Amino acid sequence: MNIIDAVSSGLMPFVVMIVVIYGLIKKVSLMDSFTHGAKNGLLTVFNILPALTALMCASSLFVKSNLSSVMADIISPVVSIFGFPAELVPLLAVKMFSSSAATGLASEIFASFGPDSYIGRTAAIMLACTETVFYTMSIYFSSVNVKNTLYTLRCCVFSVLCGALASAMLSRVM
Amino acid sequence: MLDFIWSFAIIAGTVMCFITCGPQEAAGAITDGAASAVELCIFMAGTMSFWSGIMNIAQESGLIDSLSVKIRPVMRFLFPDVPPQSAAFKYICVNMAANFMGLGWAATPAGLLAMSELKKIHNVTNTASRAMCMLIAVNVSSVQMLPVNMIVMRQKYLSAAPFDIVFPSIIATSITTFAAVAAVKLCERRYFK
Repeated sequence: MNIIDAVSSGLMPFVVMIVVIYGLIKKVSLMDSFTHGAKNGLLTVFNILPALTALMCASSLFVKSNLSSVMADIISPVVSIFGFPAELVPLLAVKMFSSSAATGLASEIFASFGPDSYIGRTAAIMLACTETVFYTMSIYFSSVNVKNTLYTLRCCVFSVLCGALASAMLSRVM
Repeated sequence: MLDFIWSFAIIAGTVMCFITCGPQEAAGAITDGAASAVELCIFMAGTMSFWSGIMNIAQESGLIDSLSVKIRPVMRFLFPDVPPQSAAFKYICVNMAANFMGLGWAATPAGLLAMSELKKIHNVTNTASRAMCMLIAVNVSSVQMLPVNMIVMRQKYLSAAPFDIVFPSIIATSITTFAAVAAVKLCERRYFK
């Protein structure tokens, strides 16, 4: 069982090794090349810090205030029409902001409903097929100072909703 | 739109915090958020600079070129206006390959570098380019082969069959990716003539 865990963490050093060996064979000046790239990476990270601060404050307020469960109460009659369990609405809302908060919420769900229950399975599939929309969008766009994001948000939220509905359906039939 | 969601989370979150837990909690949530942003940034600085360095070696040695040939048809469909010889093209290839294999630590640096290269080749100032929107949509709906985190968590909570979700997850993630790409392609037609 822990084989996949080992493989997935072992993959990282393996990839590094392959890249360095390939670079040696092709006679790239390794240190120069590495430091040049690393400098670029560092600059990118510090470019996104302001956006990260804005986002993390908002998401911390969102999670702490239990706003997600209030929203869930309001929209759960709507989502249940589509066959989506109301218990998972907070999880879906939190997942759009923060991956770690969603993981925390998911462990509560697993603990109270059980990982093999319908709710538990749906939660797992849903988290596996979606990404943190607001987080990804704000760091990617703020890294290049883009303000007008056109249709990106609409399309991303649409795809996440499709994923959520699909998860509910798939865990029922499979 | 992002502005609206952000201000909603701030205003409604503060009001709710005041009502349910009191002003101290609200203040705490804000300072916690700001602190964790800086923490995350420092943590990311390590992985980002390391992976950007490794990626630069892979790029100069030609390793990325040989990899990107394989997904070229997909790239041409998703990003028709990104020239195959550009650095942006290569970084997008790395980003997609890393996402597919579930290697988040390699996907983000490549994605962010791709954004800055796209900015250069498309002369982007304030408004996102067509390729940028597609890149983000693909990342948000990321196709992932094996949902490792979820399997490990299910094991922790003593699931009888932790791997049961693998197949449905692959279908679900294909649906999200298909929905995202289709939605973006439809919008592209309206915005870029």
